[in-house]
Amino acid sequence: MLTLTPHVIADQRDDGVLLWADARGLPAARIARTLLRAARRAGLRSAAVGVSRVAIVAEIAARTGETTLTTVTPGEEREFVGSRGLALLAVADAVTQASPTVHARSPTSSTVSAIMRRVKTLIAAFDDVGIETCDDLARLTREAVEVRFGAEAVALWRLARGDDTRRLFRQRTRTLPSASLEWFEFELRDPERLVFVANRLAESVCTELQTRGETARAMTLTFALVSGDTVTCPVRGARPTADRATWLRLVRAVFERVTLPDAVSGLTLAVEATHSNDAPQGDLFDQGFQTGAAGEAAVARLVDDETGVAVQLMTSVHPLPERRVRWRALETGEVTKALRSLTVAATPPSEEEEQIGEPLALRLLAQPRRVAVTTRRRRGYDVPVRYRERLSEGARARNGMPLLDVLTAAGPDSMSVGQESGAPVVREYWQCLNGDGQLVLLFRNAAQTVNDAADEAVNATTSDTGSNDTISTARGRRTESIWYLHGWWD
Amino acid sequence: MSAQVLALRQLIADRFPNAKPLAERDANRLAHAVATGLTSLDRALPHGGFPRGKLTVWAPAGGAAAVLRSACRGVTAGGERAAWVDASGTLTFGWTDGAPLVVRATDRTSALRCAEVLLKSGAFAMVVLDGAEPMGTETVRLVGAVRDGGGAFVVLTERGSMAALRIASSFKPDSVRWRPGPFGDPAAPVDVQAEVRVRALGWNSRAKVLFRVMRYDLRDALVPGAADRRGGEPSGQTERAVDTRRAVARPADARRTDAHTHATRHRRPA
Repeated sequence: MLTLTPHVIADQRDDGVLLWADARGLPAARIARTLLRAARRAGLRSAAVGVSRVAIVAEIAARTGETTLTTVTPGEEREFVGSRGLALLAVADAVTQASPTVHARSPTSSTVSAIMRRVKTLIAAFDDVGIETCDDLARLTREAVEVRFGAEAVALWRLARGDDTRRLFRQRTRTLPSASLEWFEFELRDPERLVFVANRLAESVCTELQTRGETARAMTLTFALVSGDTVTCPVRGARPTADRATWLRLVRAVFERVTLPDAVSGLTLAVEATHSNDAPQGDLFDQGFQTGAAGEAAVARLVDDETGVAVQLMTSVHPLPERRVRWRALETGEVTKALRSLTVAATPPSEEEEQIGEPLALRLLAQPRRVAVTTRRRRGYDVPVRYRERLSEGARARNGMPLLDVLTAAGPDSMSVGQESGAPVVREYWQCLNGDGQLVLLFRNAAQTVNDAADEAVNATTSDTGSNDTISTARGRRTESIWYLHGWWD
Repeated sequence: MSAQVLALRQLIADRFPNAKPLAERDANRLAHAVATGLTSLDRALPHGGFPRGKLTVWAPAGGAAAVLRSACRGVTAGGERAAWVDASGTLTFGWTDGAPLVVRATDRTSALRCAEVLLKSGAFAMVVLDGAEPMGTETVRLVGAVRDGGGAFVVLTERGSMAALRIASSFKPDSVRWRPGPFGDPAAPVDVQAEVRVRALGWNSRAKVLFRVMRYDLRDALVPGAADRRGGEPSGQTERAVDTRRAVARPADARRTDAHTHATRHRRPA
């Protein structure tokens, strides 16, 4: 019968065996017919089947049905049991579950016996006042039944109305995979030996996960100490997996972090929650399908080891370039999608693309680097003519050239923001071509003067009059502004 | 081999005449270098691209990032994966389309570790290490990882020890083509030519590559399709970014201000 329906329960009664079959979500009538045929093939000639959404109604249908297969249409349960006698409601399990005086999920046999004795007394009392059928009882109000016959009568009243809240097929709670080992003859203080034990535990847990076809994203590692205390450490991976090597690596990372107050006498590794093993359908002609899992595992390992994270560029419309872009860490699902969605371009690159390729993109320093700039005055602006990076002590300029001539300077692009927030930023950006052939982005912070800055060491400005550049250092003098290197094109 | 497998193979071969078994195709793929996508540069490189399973170093200047980005996109377009390990923290503009996969590392050691793990996985046809220079034994480990993984590995560094291919490039200052401003002064660079020198064992060649310069205009929103806050055309239109004076000359009622920043910018001709 379990090949026909997911759950079958046998209930031994005085007058025979009652079989409950779970047909929820399935074609109940067809299953009932199949079950009946199966029972007859097994030699149960007197078997009868009742089909209903309510347990007590199905039982009554099976017992009192005119045919061997009786189906009660949903919504007609009360009408079906209405003409039946009250004695049919004296089902121990149903009455016990519906009784308001029973609070335990599994009442003792003595409690059940007491209730059933009370039920038989009640049925006799109902009969004395002329209540013979279920319909007679169901027509009464609950309060009237409860006041006159007590709380146990309410259970019968409910069943007579076709109201049975029994849960015949309870969901089984599965224990999550776990493994533990304890030792009493000795105590361990050597991490390598503990890792050896953890390796075996991880293998056991992962094997059980793989057997179930599941994965885990979080486990707990519990150290039982000699002192009797326990230390519990969570172990989390970047993605759900049942790979032993991955979990052993994560456990090793825990061993490197944890500080135990005493020697260890036991170790337990338990899964916190399981996930289904998400194995995407592969394409026979997808090159990336073969290596997709390896790519995901590699990126997940970077996240686990906290060495790197896959990111995606997010842009905004903030006027400051360094705040206009932001890198957002990708979630595991996004990484999976990015690594698995490989498609071969339909069109080959054009001839022009093959000649020119990608354009040079601006690379921005997260913190603009202060530079010493020589300027000359042109059309009311200080135009950079050469610059030098502010090198720390002992550092040498690249190519041994401390000064870089600015061959061409385009600009300025002026911006003024943050006035309303009290942190004004006034910049003049210059796009410059230096003597090395590098395109760099310099800006003058017009809102900040050298005297405002903490470090006044090396900044040079020029007051250019004609062809003679007059360079003056800023040491001890008030100057106009400070220059920064913000980025370059590459 | 059973008759059913042979029949299935025959059926697939009839149905998809251009398809090849994965093993055969992968062997064919691994035998080819990773092309840069630039014809002139590919001709200068031995085997027409970055060698797989070997270390390539490129001095970080002269359009190296642009070429490598082009190569990564070529790899992605070919149905493979590419990763860019960034320890420099300077990648910003031009990386919005998600290719290649950018992995950010916090420091140099982490970046080297990232590169090693990605290379060893064998899932990436090309890995670029940017902003972290391997030294000594670190280079040995990375060379071992790239040999195991079978992908192309390019490090943006000046140090070329143990590299199978060394590339250096530089822009020629006199090759920069500028867009003139209203007074004839240079207003913005249009393109620039770089000279690339390629060296390998028994190989020494040069190539000239032309690079366009990505438009730089702080007044444009980077979000494609979003309009200039002062009422200009969407930033996706190339021509609009060129002549910035036109945006300044727009009437005041066409301008829009950002409620959050109240930024005001203008540009005066140099």
